Amino acid sequence: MLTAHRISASLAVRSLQHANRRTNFFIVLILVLLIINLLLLSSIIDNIDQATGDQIIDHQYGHMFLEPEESEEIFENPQSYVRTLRNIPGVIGVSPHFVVQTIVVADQKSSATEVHFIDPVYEETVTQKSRFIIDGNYLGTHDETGIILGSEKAGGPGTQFPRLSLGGVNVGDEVVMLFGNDKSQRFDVRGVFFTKLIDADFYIYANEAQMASIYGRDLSDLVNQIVVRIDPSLTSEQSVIDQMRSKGYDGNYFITRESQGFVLTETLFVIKIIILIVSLLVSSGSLFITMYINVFSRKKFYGVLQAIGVPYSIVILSTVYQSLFLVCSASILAVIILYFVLVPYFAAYPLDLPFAFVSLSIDPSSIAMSIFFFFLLAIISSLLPLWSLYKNGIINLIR
Amino acid sequence: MESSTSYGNLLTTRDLKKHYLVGSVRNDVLRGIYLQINRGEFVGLKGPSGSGKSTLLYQLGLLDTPDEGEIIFDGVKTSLMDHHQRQVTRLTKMGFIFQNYALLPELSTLENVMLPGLSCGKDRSHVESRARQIIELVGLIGKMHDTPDHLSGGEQQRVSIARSIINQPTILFADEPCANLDTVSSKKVMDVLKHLNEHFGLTILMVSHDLSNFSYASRIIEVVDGLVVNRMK
Repeated sequence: MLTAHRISASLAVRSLQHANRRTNFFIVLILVLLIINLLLLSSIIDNIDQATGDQIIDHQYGHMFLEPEESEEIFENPQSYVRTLRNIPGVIGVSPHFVVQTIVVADQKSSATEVHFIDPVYEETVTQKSRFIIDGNYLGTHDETGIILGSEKAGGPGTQFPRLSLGGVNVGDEVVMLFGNDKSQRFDVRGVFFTKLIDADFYIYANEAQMASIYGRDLSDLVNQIVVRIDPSLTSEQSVIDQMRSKGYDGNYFITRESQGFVLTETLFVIKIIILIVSLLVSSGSLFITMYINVFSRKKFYGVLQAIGVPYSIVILSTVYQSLFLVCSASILAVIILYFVLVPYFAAYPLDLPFAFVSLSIDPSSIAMSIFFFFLLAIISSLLPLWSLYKNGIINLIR
Repeated sequence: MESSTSYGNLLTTRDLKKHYLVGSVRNDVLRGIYLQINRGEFVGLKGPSGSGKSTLLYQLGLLDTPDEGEIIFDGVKTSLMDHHQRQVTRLTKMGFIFQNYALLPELSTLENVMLPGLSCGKDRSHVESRARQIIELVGLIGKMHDTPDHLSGGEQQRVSIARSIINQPTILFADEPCANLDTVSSKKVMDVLKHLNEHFGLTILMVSHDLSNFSYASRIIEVVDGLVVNRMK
């Protein structure tokens, strides 16, 4: 059997050496394009999903967030929740929010909106709004009357939903907020942020220092949402939730990636499957045609082998080795192009989608699966024409 | 090579028939062939174009399967052989020379000759040493590492002969071995065949158009319209 492998490998090498270099080059090129096509589209879709999740984590909820039980409106003893969360290894940021519905009145118009009262320092440990200020500044610790708001809520040129905006407020403008307890409060616009995440760009953040004058309480005991950032290399959301529950801290715990944007995730998954199936069919068809032509162009070679009595096993193995060599070369080239050309290119010039910048990161397991698929397909698509050739009879092959 | 001195019946056919369909038209190429070839004979197969001589050679060489009739090779009915047995018989007991040489263009002279030997599972060094001897025998010692595209037609046919005898076959089938060769090359090829027959007792069945080639044969069989019409010494 070892001899058969040696003869087959030797025949395969000789065939590849003797074959027209351009033909081999074009076969490999076609295979490279098919492999990249198979990986690129599904990876981009995966990255869109990933980027959307990252946006929600970075600009809205962190990796996970907590809300009081259905029957409660606020957390009982929120400081205890916050302290306990901060002590869990792997938790790198915890920011309590008090979220209320208000009517915000600006010069031009008014708009109902959610306002998040936050501690600006704690908030920076979870979300990244401070890095996405496009006008003005982030909230200062002692800035009691300042607010920052998203570009969609501020309104003005380029706003996607002008009817829901404040019609174009700018840094330095004054707005009045009307709260549910009939209190009203003046605030100064300190900064406008733009995150590309439409939901986040409708948010308004106010300093918790103003809460006392409106509600007579501050974030130390008036909290209805806690957002949490973790270091995923050290812990997981579920682990944090389990630890909190085991310590008796009830509430509604949400893992952001699972609870937010799931409609998009599901949609993208369906699109990905459709694209994957189409890509697989196109790849299978193209690979089959390529291998079919490759085998049929050498029908005399196979006829001679058969005529002089070379065992089928040697002929089959020789064909398989040739196909594997071509796929192997194409796979190596495809991986080089992906990792050294496309990934760096997308890192430097990410796709500018309306809701996020999407770069390209390819899961090694996807590459392994695709290459395995191509190896399998190459074997099948070279053996099928061989079988078809042999049915023609030796005489037809050697003539 | 060692000389084979055993004589007697090697190949027999009984009522061998073969037809081909060209579109819907049936063409009966062999219409009931009876023949017998003995060990050590050099048999020439002659006949006009389309008489069925090449078709007959392919049936006898197990390259094709007859529709009816029987071929008995070395005491075995070939109709009872499965694909594997036919392949092994072709590899170990038969040698083939084709009009177009049928060498593998990617292999050198030495590799082409060694291939059937290695395919038998024989030891590589033994096969190589034997291949070198045979290549010397056919006068191509200087062309050992040349690929077929660097050889003349006559040289390619001699490589083909060398390849066909590497496994010491019982019979050699030659289909128009000199059809594409000039007179000098033809003579060299025919001399090699005669040498193999006379010195090593190799049975040869040769199809040819060229009547001069039959002077090398010990017996001539004439096929016309798919039937054996004449057997001449």
